[in-house]
Amino acid sequence: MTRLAITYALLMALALASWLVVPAGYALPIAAVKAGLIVAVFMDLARAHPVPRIAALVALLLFALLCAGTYADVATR
Amino acid sequence: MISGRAHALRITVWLVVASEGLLFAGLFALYAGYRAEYPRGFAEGVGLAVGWLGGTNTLVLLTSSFAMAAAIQAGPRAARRWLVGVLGLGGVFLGLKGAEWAIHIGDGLVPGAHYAGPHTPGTALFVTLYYAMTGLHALHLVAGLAMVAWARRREDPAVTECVGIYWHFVDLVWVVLWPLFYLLS
Amino acid sequence: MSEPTAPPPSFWTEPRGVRTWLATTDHKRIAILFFVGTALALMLGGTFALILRVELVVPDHGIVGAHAYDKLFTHHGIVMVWMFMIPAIPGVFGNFLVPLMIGANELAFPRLNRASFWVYATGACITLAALIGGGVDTGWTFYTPYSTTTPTAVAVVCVGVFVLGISSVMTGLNFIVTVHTRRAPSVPWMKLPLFVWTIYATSIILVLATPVLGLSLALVGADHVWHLGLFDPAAGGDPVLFQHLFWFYSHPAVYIMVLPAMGVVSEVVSTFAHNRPASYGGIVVATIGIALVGFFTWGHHMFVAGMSMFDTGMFGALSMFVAVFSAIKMFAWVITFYRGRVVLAAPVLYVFTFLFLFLFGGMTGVAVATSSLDVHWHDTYFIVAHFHFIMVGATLTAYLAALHYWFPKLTGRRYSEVWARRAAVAVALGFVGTFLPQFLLGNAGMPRRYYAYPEEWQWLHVASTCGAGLLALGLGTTLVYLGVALRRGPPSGDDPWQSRGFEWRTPSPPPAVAFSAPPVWERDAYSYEDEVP
Repeated sequence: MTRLAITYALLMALALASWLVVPAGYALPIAAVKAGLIVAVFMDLARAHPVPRIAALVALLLFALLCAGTYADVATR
Repeated sequence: MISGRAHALRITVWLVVASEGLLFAGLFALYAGYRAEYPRGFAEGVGLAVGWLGGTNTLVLLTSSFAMAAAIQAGPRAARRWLVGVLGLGGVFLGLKGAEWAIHIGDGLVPGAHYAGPHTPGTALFVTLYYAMTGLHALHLVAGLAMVAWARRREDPAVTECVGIYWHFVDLVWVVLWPLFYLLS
Repeated sequence: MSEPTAPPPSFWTEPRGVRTWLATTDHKRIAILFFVGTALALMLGGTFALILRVELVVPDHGIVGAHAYDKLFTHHGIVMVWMFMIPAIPGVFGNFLVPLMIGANELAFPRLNRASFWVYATGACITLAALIGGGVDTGWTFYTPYSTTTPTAVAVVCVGVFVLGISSVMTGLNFIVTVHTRRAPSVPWMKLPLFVWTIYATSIILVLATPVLGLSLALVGADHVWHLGLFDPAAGGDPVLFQHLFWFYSHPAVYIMVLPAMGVVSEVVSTFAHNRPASYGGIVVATIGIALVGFFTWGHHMFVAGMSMFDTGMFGALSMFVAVFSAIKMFAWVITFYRGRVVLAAPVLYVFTFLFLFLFGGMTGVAVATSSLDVHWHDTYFIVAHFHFIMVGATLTAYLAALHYWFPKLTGRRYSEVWARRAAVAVALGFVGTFLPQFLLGNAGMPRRYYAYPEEWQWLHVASTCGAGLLALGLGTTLVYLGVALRRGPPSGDDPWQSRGFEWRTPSPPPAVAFSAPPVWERDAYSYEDEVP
């Protein structure tokens, strides 16, 4: 439970910082950190069986691939 | 060789999450593409957001995720109470989201032909994507609420764990949506 | 033909009654239901194609009008892709064989499997209901902005295909979890039959690519109804972005169709060569490799759509990798044949056709993935002929090979080998006859999806239509002799081909519960060593 509470406190701190303090340019990297915390601790992927880990990794890769391929097209026309 | 129901359910829910993640990926790709095409229009669109509603909702959903994780760790008896918290916070999120949509619609920020917002190129597309992405997210949240209610009745730790993973996924999507529609002006 | 002896109890008859079939959760019965559904789709899509081919015998107006022509090729594509080719091999043979090949009595989620069939049936009905509403004229690719502005029934078809997609995801999910959790202790990963590997790899694509199709069609449908202008240049939208989403699914979809076909070919080659596959590990690596690399190539459909040169170069280069993995398989099959003792039978004839179409279609694929060449061939009959060779030809011939190879497994009966060989030759000649002229037409400049054409191309169109007639004759013949064999074919015995495959180690047809205890298989599925000198 302590692990969860610390993670929660971190998430809230990051969200508040992103909202009120830090310049907008850092919003996406902070979101990525928060997403990583949620996946690793709340979804418990850090301690999960390899199969869910591979599934998550492949999905993330393909997610990034679709966004990057599309973005690259528009950005380099 | 591992077998067992809990293991099968865990793989299943992660595959569902992977699949749902790619459902959202298409919209994120559109956002990326259009933001590259219309950086000014999108920045102006972010300026239209009701900042405090989006921020409050982020805190609400993060808290609900903590309650969900706590429910799984607390054991079956205490889980029921934590899950009530999850349901309540999910309801608050939807209520705030609805209020936000109502404000936008009142301001003429509707997708399609009746759009009456700023005419900077790209802002109308931003508004359409805003409704599509937050709408799809809200749909997933409603489905998540139904699952949480079901898990609360089932009192089966394996089911609660899987529903929890799905709930965190819904939270995760919002964590990424938030900067795209509220912060990156 | 002699009167058949009373068949032993099997999944066909236990339990009895139509209702037990409709509500069944038995993977074998669901496979038969998928067979009925996909076979009806093949006939319907084939009928549309025949009408198109007859229309094209004359250079201008023939039997249907121009707008009806547009709707016919659209529905031909939709029916063939989403109602036949995507579900055919996984839905029928995957469902029937994967549990038998891993020593399980059921898929991981039998009720999800039942739902996946009925969701498929619902999606198919919705898609076909659009025909009553006048049909759709966008082509199966739903390119924007035409698809969001045409007055035809786009939204209905989008809903229908979306629902078909849900069925795909359910099927894929079930197979992945099944292979992970239901293997008998004597079937570790590297003893899995190659067909199971291909179904597994296909399922990965089904689960991860289908949602992107669902989303893009949902957006087109919503745009059509509410005029969102999301992909309409007049409203600032970008039609090319729709194509990115569409092809992110629809290119991997080619491998949804072709990977299971490759699995069938691996099994048939090994059984009829009475020989271990030349490189089991190589084929497994190539299978997973194709599934993953297939995701990195979607942009090669958009070389002339206004995509950037950077993306064009990148996707062109990445596309070539598919050929590397395909070549590994091609060599493995040929070597397996070369070193084995080949028994010529109908399934092998279909595999020969597969190899020819796959090689020819694959080589033309490398050609059109070269962006400078694609500028000439794009949107011509060359592309039509290319994807019919590689995607349709490979899938259809493997489907027919599977149907003949596993017919005794499914039914416990033999079909007429003579008629089967005649039909196989007719299908091969018919298919090549249909599409070889189309390569020439495309190279000469005939655009795809055109209703009229200059008179000097008429002889090629007539040749193509003759091929289509022969193909239809072959398929019709197959339906007749298999129908006869189903009722009156002589008993086949449990393993008529003397295969060592796991699926043949249960009675044919299998009883409702195939294994009373997890089977202990000491020899693997390709153990022909004692036979080959």
